[in-house]
Order: sequence, then structure tokens, then C-alpha cells
Amino acid sequence: MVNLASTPSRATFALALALNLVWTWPLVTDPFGLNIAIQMDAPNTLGLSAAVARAGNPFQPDLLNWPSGQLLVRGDSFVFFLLAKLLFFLSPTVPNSLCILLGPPISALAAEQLARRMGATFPWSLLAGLAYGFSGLSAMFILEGYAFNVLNPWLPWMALFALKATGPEGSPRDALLAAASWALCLLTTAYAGISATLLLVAIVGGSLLRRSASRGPLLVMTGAVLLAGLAFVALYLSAPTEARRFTPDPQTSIAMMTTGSARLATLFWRTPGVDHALHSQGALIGTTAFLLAIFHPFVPGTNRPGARRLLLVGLLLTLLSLGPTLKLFRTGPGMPWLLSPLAEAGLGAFMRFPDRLVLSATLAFGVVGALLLTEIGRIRPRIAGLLLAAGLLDVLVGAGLPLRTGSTPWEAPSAYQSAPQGRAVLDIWPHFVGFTRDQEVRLSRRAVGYAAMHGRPILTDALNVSPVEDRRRPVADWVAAWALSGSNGGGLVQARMDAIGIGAVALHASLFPPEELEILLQGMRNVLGEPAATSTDQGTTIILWVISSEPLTTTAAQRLAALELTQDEIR
Amino acid sequence: MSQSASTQNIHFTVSLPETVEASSVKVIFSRQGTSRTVELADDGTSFHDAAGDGTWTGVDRGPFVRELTTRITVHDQSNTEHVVYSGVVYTPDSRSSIVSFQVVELGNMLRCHQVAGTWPGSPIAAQEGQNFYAGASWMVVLTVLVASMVKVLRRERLGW
Repeated sequence: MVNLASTPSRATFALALALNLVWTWPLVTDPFGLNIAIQMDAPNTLGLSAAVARAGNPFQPDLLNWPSGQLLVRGDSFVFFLLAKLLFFLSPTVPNSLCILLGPPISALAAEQLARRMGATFPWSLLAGLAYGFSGLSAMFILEGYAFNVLNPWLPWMALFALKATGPEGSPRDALLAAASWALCLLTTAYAGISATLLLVAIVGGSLLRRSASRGPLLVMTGAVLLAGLAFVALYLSAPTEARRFTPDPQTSIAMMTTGSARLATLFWRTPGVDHALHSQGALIGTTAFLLAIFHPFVPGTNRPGARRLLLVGLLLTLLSLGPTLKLFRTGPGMPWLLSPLAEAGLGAFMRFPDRLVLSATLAFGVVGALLLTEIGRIRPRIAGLLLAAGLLDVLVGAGLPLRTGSTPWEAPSAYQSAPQGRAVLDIWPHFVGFTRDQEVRLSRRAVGYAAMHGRPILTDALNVSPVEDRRRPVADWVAAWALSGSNGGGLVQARMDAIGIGAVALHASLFPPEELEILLQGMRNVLGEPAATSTDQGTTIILWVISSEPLTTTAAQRLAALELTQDEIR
Repeated sequence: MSQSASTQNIHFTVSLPETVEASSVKVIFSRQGTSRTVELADDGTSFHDAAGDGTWTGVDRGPFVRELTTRITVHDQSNTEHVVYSGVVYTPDSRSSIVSFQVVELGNMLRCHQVAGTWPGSPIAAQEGQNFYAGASWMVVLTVLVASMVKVLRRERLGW
């Protein structure tokens, strides 16, 4: 059993923590007030965790998707939701920030421990921590806004306990710990679960072929994994129809899966365009660890139990991450690739991000690379030191997170504080079409983030990506239509908003062209009266009208009926 | 009304194709309800810019904004105004944002789209390309280093 209190472990954690403070700069300057992601999904993550933290029923919190509540049976990370629930008494930004500040060092420590367990020595085992905890994939997760992915020590621990369990000294305890770690991977994200499953199959399969596994621990591990897996599948299938994704036609499915697939040109490197147009997907795998890993089999006498299996799984997952079409760049020609049968079967809606399968590959290359680095360190320590420094360069320049982070305050504009508690807020912003239609998705995400901070429910469903499916949009259109109609509606607008359970309407004024804003403001005053609050902080202008502060007297079903009536009227 | 106090720098860069000679390039936008115009310059006074290279730059400083409703106009040598861009530009970084556009010729019209970075002449290809070549070179150097160490190890193990 690896000693967590050993000097190498303590040194690794301390070094990884110090590196992470630099790597995630400027988060440490305002840990719970800054959003360092640059893509649009971080506010969504914040909103979901805040919704779960406050909700009585964590599988259907009512902060989002008002008035029905947000269905989370098929949510992304149950581990993250649990963390949010445990920290409910703190600011909603704390779970996300803790994942970013502590996730990479903890994951790096677990990978380094696995490398030492397999025969690498400190300090060369640090390469495994750098390659796994501080990979370009981890950088992508942080920049996209899915920070819960980087808190994953379960994958290296699963490999560690599985190798022990399938070895000659395996015990049922090791088997159970391996199965528990696998389950935690699955509960972190489904992609981590798939990645972990392939790794586990390779470890178990290899030990069966070598006939090195004891039957007892193997049966215990298989049984525990099957039980946990069946429970997860049952939970997944229990989702009601409205929480399920549709199965698209083959062409749409291929397009959906291709968008989230890795490309050959950005597996090991990145260009400015990846942050601008490719969801920050670039330099997923560290070059140094990868090269050391693939050269490892060429050195006789260095093979450790499990090394070859790890390397093969790493290579397989890298090839799978390229998705249904093998491409050099995002645009340009491609050829059908390994996942194309799944894409053509319509699974593109369920597996939209094959690039995330690289997770186990980064661990595999880091650990196997550390084994070869240990050998090099034995005969040429200075060259080994150079290579370890190269691995650090891969982290700081290749993945290059500190060169790419943003700095946006989490706090919601202060006008929202005038909205009544216990009632929803309706956000109104313009329609965006053509090349700028992504703005609507970005703004929906932002509204979810605002809801986490101001604590009032909103109509947006955080798990849906399409503005067309967003139930906020038709209600906002209905109010804007009345505002532009020239009539004051005779109190109909207030009555309908009250029936839906909306307590305030928030106009995102800085998004409208000035000449259009003037006309809309006049109409809104005509229909809703004078605004209760205006703010220009947090980088945007919000003008807020209060509809009603009275406690709700209608049921959720009645509010939903009023909302559906409004949607029908505007269509 | 409550207001934000932090100052945010927004750097604009607009790169023109070699076939277009402009007399002026302007960015007109609304910043928290206040209409502003930034006249860009191609005189080499901005950091990273060379005079007359076709990349026009300018900066606006003001309170933090998450996005700008923006219009970009290019006046050609005959002083004809071309509105090359009209839309929302996202500037979420509260410290500083760089907003870059590449102008292209579409028949008789000029239009532009937002890009990651500008470069004289062929902006996207050069800046994207140099990173790609740097990464490939890094891989070659590391491959040579690791392969040479593997050779040494094999020699030691196999007793060559």
C-alpha cells in the first residue's frame, strides 16, 4: 500500500500545489470571486451546483427550469453534486473553485503514487503527475467550465488497486477498492467511466492471459463492478422522457460527435484558434510523456507488470478520441474512423465529446513514461532532469493554462437584488441569428450563473443547449411583443407573469442597439410601469421591473399551464 | 444605480488584405450605454504592430463590459465607407480583452469576421501555422533526445 504520508508523496503534493497556483493564475488572487474559464459553460456548472446545494430534492432542484425544476437524473457529475451539497452553507462558487485549486494536485499525487507502485522512483515519478494532473485535457476542462473533471484521483487509484488485486498477492480488499474507485470515476462523468472501464478491462484481461490473477479477488471485483454498473444504468434509464435526448439521424449524429472529437494537429499542440473556435481543445496529451511511453517497450528488462497494458490502452483511447472521422484539422478532408459505426447508429447525441476519452491515455503515458525516465535517470541523471523539465514545459507552455485563462467576476449585477425572493426572474435579451447565434447560448449560460449568485429561480434549463428549446425565450418574446405593441395590455402582462410565478423581469439593456433600446424601454414602461432598479456593475446594464412580491399561491402545475399558454400564444 | 469601478482595456486589431488600401478604420461601439468611436492606426506605434503592414490597431479603456455592440467601418482611398462588421463582440475578461478581425473581399464588398489573432497578409494561416510548426519541432527534438537515450540503454542491456 502506498504511504500517503511518505516524503515523496508530501513532496509531490507540495510541488503540485505550488505549480497549480501558477497554472491556474489568476484564480488564487480571488479564489471564490473569479471565473477563469473562457468558454461559455462555467456559469452553467455554477448554476447546477448551486441548484443542487439549495434543493430539497437534489435530482429536481427548482432554481432552474422554472416552474418544473431541473431534471438531473442524467446530470454530469454526481460527485460534484455531492460536493456542492456538502458545502451548501458556503458561497456557490466554492465547489467549483476547490475543484480547480485542489483537483490537479490531488490527481497528480494519485498518478505519481501509481507510477511509484509500478517501479518508477522519485523524482522521475513526478512525470506521471505532470502528464495526468496538468495535461492539456485538464486545461481544456478548466477553460471550458467543467472543472469537476480535474478532480479525479479515482482513476489512478483504480489502476493501482486493480493491478494489486489481479497480482499474485491480490486480496478481496484490493478488489473492492478497485471497484469503488471505478464507480467514483463513473459518478464523476460518464466519459471518465468509459475511459476507466477500458483501462480496467485491459488490466483484468491482461492478468487473465498471464494467468497471474487469483480467482477470489477477481470474482469480487467483477461482481462489485457489475453491481455498481447496473445500479447506474438503472438510474440512467429511470429518467423521464423530457430528460432524455432524442436519437438523431446518422448525418446529424456524425456531426455532433465530430464537433467534440480530437484532431491529429491538436493532440499534442495548440494554436490560438483552439480557444477562439474549438472549445479550447488542444495539446491534450503531453509530448514528453507520450514519447517516453512509446519508446519504453524498446528498452529490454524494464517491463513492469501492467506497463504494456497501460500503454496499449493509452494508444487505443487516443485513437478512439479522434471520433468518427480522422482529420488533421477541424476543416478539410477526413476519412471514416473507429467511432463511425456508433455515430451512424445515432449515438452522436449521447457521446458528443470523444476527446475526453484521452483521460486514461494521459495517465497511461505519464506512468509508463515515468518508468523509462527512471531508467534514464539511473544512467544519465542530467538528461533525465532535462526530460523532466521538458515535461514541465509541456504543462506551462504546451497546455499553457496560465497563458489562456480569463478573469470574469462571478457576482451577478446588483439590480437582481431587488427581485423578490421565492419567485422567478425572467431575463430578456435580443435574438441572435446567423454567425452570432451562439450568443444566445452564451447568454443562457450566463443567466444560469447569475441565478446561482442571486438565488432566484429562472426559466432556463441548464442541460439543454438549444435556444429553441429554452422555455425562457417564448415568454420573453411575449413580453417584448406586448411592449412593442403600443398598448399597455390592461394589466394582462403583470397578471400572466404572476400566474407563471415570475416576480421580476430583467432587461439586458447593453445588448440592444441604442436606438432599439429606446423604443423597447418606452414600451416596457408602458406595460410594466417604472423599473425598480438599474445597475451597470459586473460589465452589463440590467434594468429590472418587479411584478409581484407576494408569496406564491398557485401550484407548480398551474404555473406550468400559464407558461404553456404563453408559449402557445406567441408561436 | 450601482456602477462598476474597475478599468478594462479592450485592444482592437483589424487586418486588411493586401489588395485593400484604407484611409481610415474605425470601431464604433456602445460601452455600457455610452457610444464610443476608436480610430485605429497602422503607424507602428502600437505594441507588435509594424507601420503600413495592413494591421490597424487601437485601444479603448473604460469600465468593465462583458460584450460590446459593435460596428467596424473601413474608408478606402476614395473615401467610400464600407461597414464591414456589425454585431456583438464578447469581452468577458475584466482585465483586458483583445478583439481581432480579419477583413476579406467578397466580390465588390468588404466583410470581416472575428479571428483569434491578426497577422499581416494571411493572418489566420501565419499565426496558426507558426504554433503548429513550433510544436512539431519540439516533438522532433524530444524524439531525438529520447531515442538517443533508448539507444544507450539498449547498448547497456544487450551488451553491445
